[in-house]
Amino acid sequence: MALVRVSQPDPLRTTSAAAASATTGVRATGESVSDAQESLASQGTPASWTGDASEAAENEFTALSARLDAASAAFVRAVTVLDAFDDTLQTLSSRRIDLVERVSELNGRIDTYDADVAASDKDDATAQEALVQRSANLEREATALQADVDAWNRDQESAEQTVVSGLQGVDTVAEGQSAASAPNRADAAALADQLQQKVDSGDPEAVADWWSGLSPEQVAALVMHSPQLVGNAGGVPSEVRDEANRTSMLSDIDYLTQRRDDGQLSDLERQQLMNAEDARDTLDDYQDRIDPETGENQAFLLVYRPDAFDGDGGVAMSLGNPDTADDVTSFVPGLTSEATSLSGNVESMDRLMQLADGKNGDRSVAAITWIDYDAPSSGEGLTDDPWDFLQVAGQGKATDGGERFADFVAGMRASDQGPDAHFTAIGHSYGSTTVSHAATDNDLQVDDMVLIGSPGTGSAETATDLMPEGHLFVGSADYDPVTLLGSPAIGALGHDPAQADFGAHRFEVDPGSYRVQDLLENHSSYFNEGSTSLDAMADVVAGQTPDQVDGRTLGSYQTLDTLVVGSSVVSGGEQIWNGVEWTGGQVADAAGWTWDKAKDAGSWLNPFD
Amino acid sequence: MTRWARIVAGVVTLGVLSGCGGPGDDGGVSREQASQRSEEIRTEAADLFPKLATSMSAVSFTGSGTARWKICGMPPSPNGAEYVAELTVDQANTGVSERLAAVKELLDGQGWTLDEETSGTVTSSKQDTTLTARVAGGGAYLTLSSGCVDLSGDLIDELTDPGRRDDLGLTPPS
Amino acid sequence: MSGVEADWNAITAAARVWDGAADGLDGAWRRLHGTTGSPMAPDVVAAFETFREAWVDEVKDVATTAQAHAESLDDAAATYSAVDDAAYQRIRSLMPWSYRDSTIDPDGGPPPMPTPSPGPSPSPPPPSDSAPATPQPSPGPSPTPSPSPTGGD
Repeated sequence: MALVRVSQPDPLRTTSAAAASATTGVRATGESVSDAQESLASQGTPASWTGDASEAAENEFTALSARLDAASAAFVRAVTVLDAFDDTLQTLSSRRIDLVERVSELNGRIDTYDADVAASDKDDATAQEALVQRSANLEREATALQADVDAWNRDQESAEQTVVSGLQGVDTVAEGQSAASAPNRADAAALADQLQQKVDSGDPEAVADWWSGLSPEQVAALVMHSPQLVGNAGGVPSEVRDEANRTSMLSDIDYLTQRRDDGQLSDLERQQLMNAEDARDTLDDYQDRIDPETGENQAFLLVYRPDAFDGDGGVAMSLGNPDTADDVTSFVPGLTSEATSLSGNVESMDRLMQLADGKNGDRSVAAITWIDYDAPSSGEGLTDDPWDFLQVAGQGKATDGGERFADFVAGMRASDQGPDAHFTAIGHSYGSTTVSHAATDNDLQVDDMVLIGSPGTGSAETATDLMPEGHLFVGSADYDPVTLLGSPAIGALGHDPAQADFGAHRFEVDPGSYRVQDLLENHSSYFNEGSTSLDAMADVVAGQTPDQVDGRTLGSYQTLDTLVVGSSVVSGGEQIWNGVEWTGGQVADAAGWTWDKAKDAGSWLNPFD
Repeated sequence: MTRWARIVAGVVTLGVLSGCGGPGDDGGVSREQASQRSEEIRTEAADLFPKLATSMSAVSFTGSGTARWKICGMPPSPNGAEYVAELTVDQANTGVSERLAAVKELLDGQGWTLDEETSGTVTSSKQDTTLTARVAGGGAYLTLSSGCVDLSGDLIDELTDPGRRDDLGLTPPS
Repeated sequence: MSGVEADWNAITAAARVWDGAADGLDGAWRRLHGTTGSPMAPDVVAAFETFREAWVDEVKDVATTAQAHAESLDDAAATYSAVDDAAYQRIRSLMPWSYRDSTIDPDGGPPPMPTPSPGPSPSPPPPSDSAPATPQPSPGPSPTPSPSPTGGD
């Protein structure tokens, strides 16, 4: 009566992440080859020429561009089979997980059966009869399950054979030539023109619709030919945007590194290279983040425009696939530092995402960091880039940025699969003004909005100018000076959304440090670990409602001039008598001295001149 | 000058007038202490991660485990950095509930205190170090964190530079 | 004969196109060479590496050839006055298609180097260059410029 246990399926020998990585390398190569091919072809025999082929072949531009065309065709075929392999691997991964559960469970019951047999009374005929019956049932189940496991093992082998023969079909120059002259070869240039037209028409739903009709080979050819167009086009699936943007990123790094080594980099190119390497390094930091079911890498480069905004670059990265996630959030930062604003913000969003993921049960989360507008930058310190800082007082960049952000969200909505995701926009600092403009000037398709550290909401005067009742959430630390620019009277960037009469749902934020040298740090406190603000944002992202606190009313908070002077006094007091205990009265005496100095300076401190 | 620029200039000047130098950017833990802490985390991870992998009958890892400094708070003024070691087990020969039970049992046996368990994520701590194990799908995502360390702004920038990380060099159980 | 004549400008412009292509292709074959097949299944790795090596070789060969063509044209430009019809025939296949029936312009040498003039020159100024319009080469592979907000390539 000994029962044989079911064997676990073979390990999955190739993961989606590994296959994707190899495919990206081929694509990046293919892009560079395709660019060179077009460059040479433009000096070669035109397609319209009907003369002697051998005369055409004598021209080296013609001959070499033809060789590169064969290579391009081979790369397109290779990418197509590798992509298909990746898709199959994801399915195999899901199936394996299911099989492992079933095998473990059944083997467990067989163990129990064995134990029961050992403990049974051999002379109890009824009990023995029951055991025989159990054995027969278990054996039937085990046979069926083993057959499923064996089928999975064969499917993995079959998938490997498919990709192997696909690659073998284009691993010689002659085979590349055949692929290049195949009658049904995808016309990448024509497809690129069609996509460009759809993108120019500003309708991401039309892009998504058109995209769904493409064959896998057309997709491979188009991504390799025009990765920057595909990677930044709203409506294109996020997975594909990521593949395209990684392709551009790597080929940029290849080309610009070559130029740097030759000493030929221009200033703009140097910045481009920095932006490309920054994106690559940030992606690499998340190379081990995979979807637990499919094994697919979970860092998606959704926007890659390394030379935008005079070299500051435009970029957006998501952790989690926004097309498939149930709860999606997109964060728009404000004042940024020139270097590496991407990775720090992605890390903050990672923290938020994990917190939200713990709150939303079985729902999945994707968190996007979006920096594809001309954000004011703080450079080395407060006095660097004064022109950029002056921009803070103006709404131009927020207005332009708002349009860009609204377009981006529309693109995400268009590529969203299945039921609509619950989408939350989060804007910090100048980014909150940008998100506000996205809502008031454009059709911003979000379900909830969070404004943190906001200096003003652009042209919105009340919460319902931005979002329907109950869907606008505001976090402003009372000692964050940037949040006081718009209060009590309207500031250069609009109204303070933390005011009670603005009508938003304000959540609790630690007011922060009252020392003058710490005031600006209070502006960057909203993602602090364990903070009520981080928790509240996670609530909103997870579709829940954070606790509400009172909005600002006259007298319930310090306006900017009071805060600045008061905190300076406090700091001055601490400094002058550092380490010595003093009574309140003595501190007040000393404070008085500093207060007089402050009053003298006060006239040009007045923020309302 | 814009109003904001004037305010900022005024704040800085007032600070100078009242003798404000402040601990400011030189505060917090030294480079050597940060380095020591990161070494502790790597050592702990090199010991604990393989044990956890074995307990769940892990078949393969996504990589070989990495560790790096990450900012606490947000740019442009993070309030510290934490050193986090990570390992993704992508395939295991156990089901989810079996894996979860194995992880909890092992941690308990190694002297970790269970702090929280929500939908497949176990958070445990031992002194200042936190271990999270997210058990889902075919494997588990393990992180071991030092907690946020108070470092100067310059040191945070340097240590959290993207692409800067240490390889743990771990391989799946044979 | 169509009467098309190639001058120094046309020759150096063509050299720059070859140069740009060689640079891009250099980056390309190195990228492919550095793309690892592991950790994939052994059979897949083997097939991938065969594919990879075949195309690394081919792309590298084209890159090297393009570089050589750039150098041949640069050499010709440098020794322009010594390039006779026979020498030009040998490099004509490296010129753009529109130059397939061309001859070398005897007066199409490089623009004169500016010389410091201590005073009025005793000799008459050199004749002005009257080369035919030079077809503009495309700028060569480069990262495509950032598209407008609505995309572009």
